[in-house]
Amino acid sequence: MGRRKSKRKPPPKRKAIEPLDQQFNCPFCNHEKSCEVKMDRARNTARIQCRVCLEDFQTTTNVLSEPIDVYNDWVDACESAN
Amino acid sequence: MPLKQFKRIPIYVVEEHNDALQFIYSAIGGKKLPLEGTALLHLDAHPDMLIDRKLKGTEARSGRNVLPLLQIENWILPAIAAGHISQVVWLRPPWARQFCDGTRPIYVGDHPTTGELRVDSKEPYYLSDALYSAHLKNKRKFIFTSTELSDTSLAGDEISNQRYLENLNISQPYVLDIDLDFFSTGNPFLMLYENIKLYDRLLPIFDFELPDTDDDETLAKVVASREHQLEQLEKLFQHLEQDNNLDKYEGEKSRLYIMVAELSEAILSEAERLKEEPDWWAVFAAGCTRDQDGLPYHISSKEEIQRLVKNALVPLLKGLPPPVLITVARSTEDGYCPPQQVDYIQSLVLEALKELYDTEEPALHYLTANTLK
Repeated sequence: MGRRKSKRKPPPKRKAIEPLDQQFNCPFCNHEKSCEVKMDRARNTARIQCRVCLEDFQTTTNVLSEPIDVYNDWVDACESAN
Repeated sequence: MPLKQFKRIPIYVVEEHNDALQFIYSAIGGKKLPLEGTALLHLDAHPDMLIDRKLKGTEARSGRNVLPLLQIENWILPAIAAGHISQVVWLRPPWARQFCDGTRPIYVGDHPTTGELRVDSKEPYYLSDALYSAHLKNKRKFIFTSTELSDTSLAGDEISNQRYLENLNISQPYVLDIDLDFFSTGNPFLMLYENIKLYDRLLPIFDFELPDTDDDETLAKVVASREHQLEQLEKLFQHLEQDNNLDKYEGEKSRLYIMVAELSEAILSEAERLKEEPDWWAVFAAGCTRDQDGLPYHISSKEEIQRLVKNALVPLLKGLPPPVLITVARSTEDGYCPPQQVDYIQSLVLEALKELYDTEEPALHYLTANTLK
């Protein structure tokens, strides 16, 4: 039995892959989009810091981790600390 | 590293099935699924287990960078090659028979010379797409199970139902992935230039004969010859896309060339009669589905759809532990799930999932995805 194929020619650049956020609201000072993530892919770690209040957080990552995952780890850590 | 848990099971509904993988990858990146070793429980009328012949192993292992390179028929193997998925259970409706039922290990890895992703499986599904390689580098093993799921598969006594579920060998963590064409399956190519019987005429051009023996030497020859045939056809149809005829084609003037040239004239006249431009890409794609017996086709009645949900999907999921996340593909713009039925099937499936699990409100990605058409 044959193999499925798309009837439509694939577009040169597909856009159905959702872009992921790069900047986040600070869980400490509540500034909007003030937190940026630096991924250290070689060491499987990442650091997020608020450029307003300078609060920061570091976490482990994997090859599929994105900045949003680092931010979520930070929020989870804040929730469990509280 | 301990895994985190979703508060409720997320459900992502996508149009094209390959768009489901980004949500699986996000769950891995978010530590909700392990980096390696997730199982995929895949209900679909098509296995989607092919590989883009040009895809390199390095591309498959490039994290999310591989996502834009994937198509509906080939989105699972790259995730296996990257180690993220190690078990696939394909539950097929009775009318889909692309693989023999059973469980087997398969290796996927890089072709030692080209670096392109290949498998060591000698099954027709892979041989007919020239995807077999006896030797692989950076290889990963996965366990592949193909099993029929009909509305009577789980209608037996408790012991036989238990045996059916145990044979799937699904344990947590796993992803539940449902293509709505499992419940009713169209074949978008059957109607293409139907008046000139295009689908039948493509068969001798794209035909593939399985070898009698499966020793490495024979298979290497079969794969090389099939690869040559598919590459020639691709070039011919690419030329047709440019010129609408083969007059200035400079490639090999083989038997295939003559056959495609004859067919192209019939398509041109038919397209002219229909007052439209010939869709050479669709003709080529249709041909690619024409090896062996063609694609599965079964338009279910409303009652059949209801029975499949009530007597197959629901008891199946009741007998299994809950998944980490659920992906649902509509596959209707491609014509695989009949457009007049897709919303009905989707509502039945989502309703069943919400009754079975503590789920998030389904994320209807297909409504917001900015897919170029």
